[in-house]
Amino acid sequence: MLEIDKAGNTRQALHIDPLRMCQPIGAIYAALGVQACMPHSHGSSGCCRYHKILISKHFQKTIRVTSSMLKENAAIFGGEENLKAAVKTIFDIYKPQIIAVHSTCLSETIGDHVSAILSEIELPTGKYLVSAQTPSYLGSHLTGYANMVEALLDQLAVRSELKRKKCFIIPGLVNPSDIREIKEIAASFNGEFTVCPDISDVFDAATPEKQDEYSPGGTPLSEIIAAGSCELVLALGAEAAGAPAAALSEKCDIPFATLDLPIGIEATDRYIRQLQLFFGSAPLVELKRQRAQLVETVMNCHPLLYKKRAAVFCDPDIAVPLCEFLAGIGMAPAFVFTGPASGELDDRLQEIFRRYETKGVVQSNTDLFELEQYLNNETVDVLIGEVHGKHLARRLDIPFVRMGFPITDRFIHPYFPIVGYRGALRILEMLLNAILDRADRDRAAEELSFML
Amino acid sequence: MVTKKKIKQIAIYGKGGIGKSTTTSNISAALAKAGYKVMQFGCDPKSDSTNTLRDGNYMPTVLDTLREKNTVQKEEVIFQGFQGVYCVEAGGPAPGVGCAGRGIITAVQILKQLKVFEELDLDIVLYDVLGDVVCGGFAMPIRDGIAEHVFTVSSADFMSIYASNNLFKGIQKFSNSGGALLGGVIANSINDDYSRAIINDFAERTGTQVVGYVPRSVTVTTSELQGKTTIEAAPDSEQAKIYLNLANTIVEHTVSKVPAPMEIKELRGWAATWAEQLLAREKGL
Ligand SMILES: Nc1ncnc2c1ncn2[C@@H]1O[C@H](COP(=O)(O)OP(=O)(O)OP(=O)(O)O)[C@@H](O)[C@H]1O
Ligand code: SF4
Ligand SMILES: [Mg+2]
Repeated sequence: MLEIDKAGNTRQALHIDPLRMCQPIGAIYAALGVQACMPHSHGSSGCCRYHKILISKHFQKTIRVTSSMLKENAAIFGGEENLKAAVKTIFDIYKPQIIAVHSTCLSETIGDHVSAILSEIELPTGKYLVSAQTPSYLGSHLTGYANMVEALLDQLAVRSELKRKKCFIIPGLVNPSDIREIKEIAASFNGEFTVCPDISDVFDAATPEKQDEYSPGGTPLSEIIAAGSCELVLALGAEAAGAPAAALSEKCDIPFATLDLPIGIEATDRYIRQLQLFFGSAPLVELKRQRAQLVETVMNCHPLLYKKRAAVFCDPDIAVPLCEFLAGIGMAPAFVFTGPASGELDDRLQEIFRRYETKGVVQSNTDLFELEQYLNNETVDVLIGEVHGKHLARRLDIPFVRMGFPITDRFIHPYFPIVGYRGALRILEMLLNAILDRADRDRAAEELSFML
Repeated sequence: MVTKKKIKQIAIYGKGGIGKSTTTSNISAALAKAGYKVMQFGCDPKSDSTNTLRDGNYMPTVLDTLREKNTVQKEEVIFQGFQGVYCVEAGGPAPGVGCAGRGIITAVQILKQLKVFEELDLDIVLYDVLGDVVCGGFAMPIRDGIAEHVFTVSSADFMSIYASNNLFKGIQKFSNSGGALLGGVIANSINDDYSRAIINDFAERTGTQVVGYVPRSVTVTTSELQGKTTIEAAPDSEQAKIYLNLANTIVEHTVSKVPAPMEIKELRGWAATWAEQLLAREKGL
């Protein structure tokens, strides 16, 4: 057994392929899920450029993010002038309905009081400004996502005594196809609901041609403002959606529940059950059909996946339900590595391991360098995670299934879900393909078979 | 062959309001009067370091100029005062906004890039640096081989000594990477034996020396009210002689050392024993 050089304790200063990204990446992601919203980076130009490119490459499409372009002068005298000038220019040229400003390491460190600066700006009628604090030396992209969603709700939602049977759903950081799945499931109850942020028809829609045009998607501002009249706030994913749900609940006096992202059979079941409880109606038969199909497939391919060991490296919000799914179908999630996560991550996974009588190493706030050392000691059958796993796959010669964010080296993946029963079916297909392709590769030519 | 003259670069630190600017300006004035080519560089967003060298007037700062014009020319930020002392003020943001530390870094770098020290053929540059070493920016003059010697202005008050001790920690930290070393303590407002004993003891404990004792004096106040240094306003006074001597010691000073700052607990304990002695003395009287 080689000794492991762990990220965090012995290796404070150096992380190699860390499983965390800048807070503003999450903030931009969330802001783009609001209709006609311009995300604005209050920092120097490099932050904005890097964040924009990363998101762009994940979706293989251009996105717009503006920047305060802070330079040496602003670092010394504060970024107030730049921010005020930027807001004016953005409303003039890009004509958004709302600008969602997030801070960066620089503006936080020099102590720019962004919300106070914004409050001095006279807004054109019907236009809005919100701001979130997102220094990257704290938390991760999920923290930034949570901070921006919370800022949107806290600064826009209006408390209302008049409630209606409506569910306010806050999804974590997932792909547009996942949001479609979440919406489709909710819609099958024929009740009222809002999904916020809603990146469907944004990241999977055609890029607007004119400067002042916006994608058709995004949560309408009116829905965010009216959030206070909902009867339930539902967070999907503790890390990215938990805090904003709690904040909205507190502000507008609405009960809230935090569920996992509906990944795999059980988490999807729980999502559906929660909605059923709330709406009091049964879901459409289509969902039952999807579930039955999924369960049958799991049974059929069980022998091929049974006891197969996986190393999972992705956001904690995806890791928990994904590992529950893997363990539930008889696989062994032997390593679960994530970026920064709240204390619950380990407890949740240990409970899952106990329930399915398996074992795994759980590490949060860590990097792929650490995972690689574990894998050198004890290998697995499949790697599941974000794009940086590519190197591990090559060096350790292990099949690799790309999942989560970012996946910047492939096309089309954001158009297919991992959420819901259909998403689970897709996960199964990807896993099986990877494992079977590898088995075929290892087989002698005369032993290749055209049958399973 | 012409050997390049070595410019003596000295940084003066100390707790806020302890008398850094007053002392530094008097040293500058005394040295200029003695024929040295002197520059005083105020590293403080208040931009008041060199006021008494220029009849109490404020002048454009490096950072104000940078902000307005995006570039800085020598003649825009260097002004001569009493006996030709070259005065520069770094400037900085208004209180409560921006980052003054970053400002000091930028201002010092700009002056370095302008190569003014060599061009003006200076003998000595005195940096008068704001307060405590609150962040990395204020350590700029003592790192990267800018200033060579550091002096701290301190009274015998605990808070002032605490600030000096903190500065010593900064010096110790940067000493491995070519940073400035400690020349000693300039004891200011020392009017009785007890104050003298306290400051001597502190210097001894931390492996340094006291390079001069400056009493508190109304001459300083009256000179300041005229917008002048004591050297200029009251050249024949006792206080002026003290400043002249101090200036002499500093210009002659050659070997600085790495100080041995006390740990915070040790420092508290040390202060407590002095407090007990003072109390005992008061009771005895
Ligand atoms: N030896 C002294 N005798 C009388 N007054 C003094 C003496 N030293 C300093 N002062 C007075 O104390 C006040 C503060 O001094 P000064 O401005 O030099 O302090 P400073 O350390 O530069 O302060 P800051 O940290 O605010 O820049 C001034 O009014 C000055 O005249
Ligand atoms: S400065 Fe901070 S926010 Fe900007 S790119 Fe670097 S880590 Fe990210
Ligand atoms: Mg001063």
